[in-house]
Amino acid sequence: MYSERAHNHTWRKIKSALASGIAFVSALLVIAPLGLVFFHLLVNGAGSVNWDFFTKLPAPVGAVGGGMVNAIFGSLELLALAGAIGIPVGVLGGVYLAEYGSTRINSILRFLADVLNGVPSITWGVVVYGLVVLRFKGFSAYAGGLALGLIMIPLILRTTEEVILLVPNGYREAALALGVARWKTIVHIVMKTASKGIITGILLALARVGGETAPLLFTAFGNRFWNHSLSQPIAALPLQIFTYAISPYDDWHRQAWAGALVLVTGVFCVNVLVRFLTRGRAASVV
Amino acid sequence: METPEPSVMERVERPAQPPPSAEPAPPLTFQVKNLSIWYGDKRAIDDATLDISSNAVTAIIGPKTRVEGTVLLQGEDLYSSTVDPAIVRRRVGMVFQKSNPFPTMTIGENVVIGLRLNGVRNQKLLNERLEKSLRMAALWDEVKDDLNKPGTSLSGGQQQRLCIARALAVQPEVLLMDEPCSALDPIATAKIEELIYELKTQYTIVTVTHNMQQAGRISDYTAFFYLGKLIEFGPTTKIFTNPSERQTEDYITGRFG
Repeated sequence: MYSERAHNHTWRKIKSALASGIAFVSALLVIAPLGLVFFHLLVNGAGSVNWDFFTKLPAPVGAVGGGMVNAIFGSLELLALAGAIGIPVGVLGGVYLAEYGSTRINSILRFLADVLNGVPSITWGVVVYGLVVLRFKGFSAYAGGLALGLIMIPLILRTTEEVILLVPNGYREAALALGVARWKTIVHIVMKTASKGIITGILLALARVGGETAPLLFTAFGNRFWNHSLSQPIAALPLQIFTYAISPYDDWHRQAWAGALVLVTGVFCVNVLVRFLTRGRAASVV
Repeated sequence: METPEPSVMERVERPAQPPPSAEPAPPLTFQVKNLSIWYGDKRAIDDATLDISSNAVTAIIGPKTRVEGTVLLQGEDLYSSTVDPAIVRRRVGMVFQKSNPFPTMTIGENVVIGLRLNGVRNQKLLNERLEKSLRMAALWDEVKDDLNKPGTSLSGGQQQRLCIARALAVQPEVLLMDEPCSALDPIATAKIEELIYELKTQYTIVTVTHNMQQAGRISDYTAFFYLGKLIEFGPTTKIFTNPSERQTEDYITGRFG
């Protein structure tokens, strides 16, 4: 009797160790690709990340050297345009879903937003090509920004809704009980309480579209020179990487690696920033 | 808003004497006539008629689905379509069961936020009201040097007094307290009760409690509700020593509840 119980105990311990071992290996497998990608980028790209890369325009075809300064600024411009479209629509839409509307309509809207989140990004490029590029007879920064902005909307909408729903009802009631108007309660109490979560959602959405290539192929198109007007084609880092990576030149390959390294580092920095923001004071409930 | 539980004691306080040099207080703050309130299919309040009542307030702030009857606040019908709920809420201060200072704001900001969001910009007035409200809530001496600390850094009882100060800052006519001490320890409870005793010289206070002894200690009038029905309403001393209704007596003496 006793020995059987002792045996059971040992067997339990083995099972427990087995389970945590499998979980640990799975966790490693999740992190490993990130490490591998970063390592690979460092090995291949670090050598080409130099002062020229950040300060010079692409060299003429065939010539060695040059940089991607236009693509870096182009990406930032595209992100600014995308944010101008995606942030207000996404945040206000999320507020609507969390604070207003009927349960029935909201569940439909929520479902549609989730469907939009699953739409392959190249589809957005085609849609904007049809709606904007064909109509205005030309690729442009506006079209690229619109494509990225449209991708951002459902992302920001859903994260905003979720963090706003996390704000305890007691705060809404407390504000309403002071005779504060509903919209003021939402702006000054609810959104302020959820602000860190909302900002996190915005930054993550920006990081996500910052690396998008497909929606820019038929919209921003790319540009080997400075973009002087937002209604002209504009360079973007992912686009430049794509173009260089499929080119036949070794020097362009090296620069593509460097561009990828810079892009991944940028996205990584945004994520670290998000981490930093969400730590903050204990006061942030969301 | 939570649906009131089946047995709820409601006590009503009125100033013993009107404050000197003020207008004589109107005899009736709330007049409730044949009030019924539904939450979905559940009837929370069933045909209640009394002169001062807090269930009326549950109706004002709760997700009421259907209301019958009338509630008069100093003669004005609260459910009339011409009445703006925001204006009513400004006249009726509310203290909640669980203290809920705004987590993004400092102690000082918490107190004056009601004034700010209602359009008061005058910094001098805000500062005056800040100190006055905190003094009335018996919190000033404890926090006067920490006004810039987060409201959530205070203890539970202090947070509840902060919420009372916040409600007082907009200068309401009535103060409603929904089980203000149910989440507090005995010492913090004693402080809040003392505060209620002080405040009743200036405000009509309506409070809900499940605590018999507390009702006996702090209230002048008591209304007893059971399963949504108003069983009895009268001076606290009468309700506790010589109730007219059998159910009231059973509850007071601890036969149920």
